Amino acid sequence: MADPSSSVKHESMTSKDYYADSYAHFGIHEEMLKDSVRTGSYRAAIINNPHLFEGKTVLDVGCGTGILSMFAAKAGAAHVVGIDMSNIIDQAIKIVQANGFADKITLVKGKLEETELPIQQFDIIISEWMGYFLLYESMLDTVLDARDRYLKPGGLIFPDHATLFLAAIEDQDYKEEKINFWDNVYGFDYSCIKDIALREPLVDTVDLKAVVTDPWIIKKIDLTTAKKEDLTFTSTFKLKATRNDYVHAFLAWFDVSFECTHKNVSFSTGPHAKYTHWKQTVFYTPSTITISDGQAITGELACSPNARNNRDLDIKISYQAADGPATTVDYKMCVASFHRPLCNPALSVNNC
Amino acid sequence: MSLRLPATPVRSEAGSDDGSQSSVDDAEETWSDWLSDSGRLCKSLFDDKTFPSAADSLKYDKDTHGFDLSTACQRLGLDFHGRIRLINYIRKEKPQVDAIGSLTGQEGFLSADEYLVPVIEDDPLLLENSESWSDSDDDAANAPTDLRSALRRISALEAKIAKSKQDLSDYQALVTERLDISRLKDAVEGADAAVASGSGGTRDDDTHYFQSYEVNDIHAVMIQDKVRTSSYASFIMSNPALFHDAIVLDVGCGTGILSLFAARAGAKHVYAVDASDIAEKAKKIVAENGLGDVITVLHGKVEQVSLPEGVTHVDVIISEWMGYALLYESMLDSVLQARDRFLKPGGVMAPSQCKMMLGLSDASEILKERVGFWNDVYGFDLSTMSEAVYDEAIMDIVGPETMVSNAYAVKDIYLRDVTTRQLDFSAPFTLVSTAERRTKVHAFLLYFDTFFTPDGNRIPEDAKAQVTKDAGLAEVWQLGRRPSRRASQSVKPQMSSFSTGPLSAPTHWKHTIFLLRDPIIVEEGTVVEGIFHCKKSDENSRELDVEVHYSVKENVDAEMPGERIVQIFKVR
Repeated sequence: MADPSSSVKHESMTSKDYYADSYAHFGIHEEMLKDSVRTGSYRAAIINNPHLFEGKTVLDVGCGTGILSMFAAKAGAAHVVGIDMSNIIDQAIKIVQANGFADKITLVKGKLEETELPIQQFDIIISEWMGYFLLYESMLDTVLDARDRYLKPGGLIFPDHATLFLAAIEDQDYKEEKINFWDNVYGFDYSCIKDIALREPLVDTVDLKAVVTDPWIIKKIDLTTAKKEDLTFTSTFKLKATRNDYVHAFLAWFDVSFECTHKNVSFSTGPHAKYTHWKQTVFYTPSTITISDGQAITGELACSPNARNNRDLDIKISYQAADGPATTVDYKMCVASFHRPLCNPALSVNNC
Repeated sequence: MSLRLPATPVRSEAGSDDGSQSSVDDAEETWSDWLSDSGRLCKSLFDDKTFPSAADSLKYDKDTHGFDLSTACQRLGLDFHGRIRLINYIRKEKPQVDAIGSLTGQEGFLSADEYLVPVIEDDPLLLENSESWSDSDDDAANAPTDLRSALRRISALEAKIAKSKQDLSDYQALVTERLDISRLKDAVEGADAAVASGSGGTRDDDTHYFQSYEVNDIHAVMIQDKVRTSSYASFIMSNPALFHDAIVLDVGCGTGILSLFAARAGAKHVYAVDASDIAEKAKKIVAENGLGDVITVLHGKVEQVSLPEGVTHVDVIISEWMGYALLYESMLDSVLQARDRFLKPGGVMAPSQCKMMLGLSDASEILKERVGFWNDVYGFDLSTMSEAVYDEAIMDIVGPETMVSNAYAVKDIYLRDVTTRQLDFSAPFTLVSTAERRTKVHAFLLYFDTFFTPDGNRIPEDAKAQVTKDAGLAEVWQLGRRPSRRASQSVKPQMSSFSTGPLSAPTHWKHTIFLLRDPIIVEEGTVVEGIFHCKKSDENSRELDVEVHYSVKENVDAEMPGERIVQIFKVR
């Protein structure tokens, strides 16, 4: 994976690289830190478990602004090493200094795979690696690398478990706005864009009331044992309807837990839980599925990194309702999936 | 960064729009970059052979084709510009050597501006140093023999150098204006990079830019911006007299929505151009709407596309080129080039006029969100994160109540005759507080108003842009029906306009907010005056560098204030 942001020289920077330096780019950190479910859960998992951190060495993979490293230092870690390949680390260095942790936290700029760390063996790895749909642009493979290279036998990983869920939802209004919109644009037929729009999963928040089936666990990841190959997978599912309704989309979300902690800290990004910046991921189906209470939609979900651009995810969903036709849709999770306006009242009705 | 400077009176910089010092400097910088770009092959004037230097090429033309450029220039009495016109004329029209021999020096093309534009980008022949084309007097023969004549000789040569410099700078100005050197430079460097298979050291402001328009969602955002799309629709659909039977060019057509409107309004033919891959979608959409015979989608940069055989001019150019802070993205440059190449005399630009409006905003919410937050994050001090916030314009939406002054037009862009160089500008402004009580002003706020006139003429001085209260703007056109001939006669030409200001319904352009390091305390009548500088960034021509110089005084009649504050921002 070629990411030039950490090594390019000034003259050869493209506008994309400049963007990586701008406040607008830092905005993602603002969004993450303001995500109180995310940051609060990590804080609880670390700060409330000083017995795990006291005197230990800690590696923070993809440390960003350094907030998790500071939690660990505060929890009594002997030393924390934070690594990040983005320019945000220059800010993190200032932040760590401003908060008086310069002697406890060492920050390293670079890719983990290519960088020499000042400590060779760590007691604990902490990382906030999760992406949309858990795996999109996620740093999980880097975390697994770090585990294999740097974690002492029996060492801890924060978090150590992640679970991906699938359900089906009633979403007539949104589908109308997001997909069927293209059927009639100011009186013109734009349906060729509709086909493509449908194949791009939408990252959005969905109301719990819209969920019409039981959730199904699509994938469980145990970070202490998982391998990179596990991130390409196929799983079958069976979604049982909880009422008579119409289904317009599948919905995916994930839970994350810190099972090594004393009180088993965990959080969910599902529609039943408090808002997180990961929201949920919506996969619209080409046609509406009619479903009755107790009936099931059965099928298979296959997920793999795109062969051409391994930052993108190929997600194939095959499904069949009670007596409906068998359908297969190839979705592609790419940058477009979240290039949407945030909180612009002129453009979106209620996703804020 | 914010600086405090001793007070200097705010000069009323009339004419500063037309080439401020900074923009001239810029042009020079770009120009010398261009000049220093040596190693370019020089092509013969009469066949396809290339040579490492202009001198070699000229020698070849002399030996092989019997044509000596400097002799020809002397014979025709051509000056600097004449020589350039001759070169470009030969390159473009490809005349026989004999035909040039029969020129008299009185030909029209030898004074036409058209032939000042290089036919071959970065043509070394045009950059050939003065020796080979200098005036006819033989310098060596007149070598001075005594001090007096030597001094005379020196001053004569100095005068000549000055004249050459002037010629060069005039030519540079002309070409820059007509051609936008920075874009040319990018194209040239782009070509270099391709040859060197990306050996680094080049910059590409375009690829990422055009790629960013490939994805669907951005088009959904733009089309669903009702203020934007409806304003275009209502202008196009309510002016059948303008569009009926017209040849229309849509610059940066995206999904082609404006072209579809124009076709429906009765256009004879629409040429829709876009450099991004979305053009392929536009082709599909046009075909699926049965308008393939009326709309031709051209996938390419508008600077490089050519209209089909026989189509030299268009009657109307429509384009939605406006970016954040109006000029971010610099797409207007392309539109102006399209205008210069294709718009018939008296043709109509839609929109016809845009004004950049500056005002004072209390912006306290933005400050809380972007600055206050970082001071205490889970008990940690992350305030370093907010330092950059004062160096970059913030794109966000503020409510109408946060606007606490008049809005002052710092830039009035009249599309029919504005030039690319005028888009780098400095403008004085005066803002008078309308705050009812003591208020802390945390930001300058910038937005723009857009106007469409049916004849492409200027709007009246006092015309105000329409303020849209409701995002669900009234649909003034009738869907699915072409206006009849009768309709085109009975409908009165209508002006359209929209505002992206805080008083209007929010648009996808949002508002541009320049947060002040030092907030200004205002009461009713407090005056903030200064100069607003805006130019393309040196680092990326699609970004902007903004500088605001301002001072504060109690009221209009008060003495000049004690200090001048300067703050610099990037718009990116």
